Amino acid sequence: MATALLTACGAALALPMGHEDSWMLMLDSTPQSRGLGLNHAVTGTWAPGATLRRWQEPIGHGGARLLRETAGVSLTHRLHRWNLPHAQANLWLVGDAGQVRRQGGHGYAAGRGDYGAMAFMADYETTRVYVGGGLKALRGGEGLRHDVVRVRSGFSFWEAEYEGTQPWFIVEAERTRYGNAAMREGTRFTPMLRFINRRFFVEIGANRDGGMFNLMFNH
Amino acid sequence: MIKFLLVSALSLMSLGASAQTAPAADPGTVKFSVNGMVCAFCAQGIEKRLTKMPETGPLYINLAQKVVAVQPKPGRSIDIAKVKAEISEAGYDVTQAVPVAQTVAAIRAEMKAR
Repeated sequence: MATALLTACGAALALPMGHEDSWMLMLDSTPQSRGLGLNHAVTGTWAPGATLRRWQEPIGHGGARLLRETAGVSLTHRLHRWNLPHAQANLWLVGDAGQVRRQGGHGYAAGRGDYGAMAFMADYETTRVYVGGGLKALRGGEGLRHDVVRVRSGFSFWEAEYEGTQPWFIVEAERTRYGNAAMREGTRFTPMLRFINRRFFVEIGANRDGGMFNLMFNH
Repeated sequence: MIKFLLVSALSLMSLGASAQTAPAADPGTVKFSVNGMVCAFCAQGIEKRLTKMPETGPLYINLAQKVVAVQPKPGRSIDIAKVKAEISEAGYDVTQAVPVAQTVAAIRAEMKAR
């Protein structure tokens, strides 16, 4: 279930915004969640946007879940970039805020309220190696309180031409802590294949919850 | 008169032959070494900025060598400082800019052959 929350911005962990004056479309899907994000890089370091999320959240150890949906505006900021001779490293800050809606059930009433989320991310990448990670805090009405830690690491099978497709093998480890002590914590390991082809960035993976899919398109 | 025509014809043939063997004109290509350019997804910003410049002709990006080669359109030249500024604005660092007497097509072929 841990994947359900942050895969809503899953692909964004790798590169949450494009180059100046570009649009970035982000789609994420797992068995428990769907996410859609769009931002526009007004400068090389700032990208306002919008985001929609829908996920099923555990409310106990019996497998019961509640459906939550959010709609909000987002702001992505590249805090710093290091351009090294054979690598690039970045620090990112991503925030979003808006409305959250909770579907009722399992003794919980339906409701809606405001939410806010803040994520800090870092990555280091060469043409063959990728390491990235992030922390995200999500707070909102109707008892919404999540803290998520995620780390990703992997390698590219070969060095691809700029015009070609570069395949990667990535493993993600993610742990979510829910504000309500009754909710479970979980760490999930998700192996995935990543394909990068100029404007397209696709990730396909699977864990014990099922399959996941991330897509980013930069224009 | 016949001798004059013969000499003229030989001279013209000689000129034609020398034109064929003369080295090609310098295409004005510049090779930039770029720190931080590690993936196609992020190098797009560089390509987009450089192709918007009116003097830019053929362009080649090599991620493995961290090289961007830019050839000007015929009759134009590459302003190195301007290209460096564009690559910097795209978020990367140019460490070296070297004019080379090669076309972008030749550079591409040479780098692919490595």
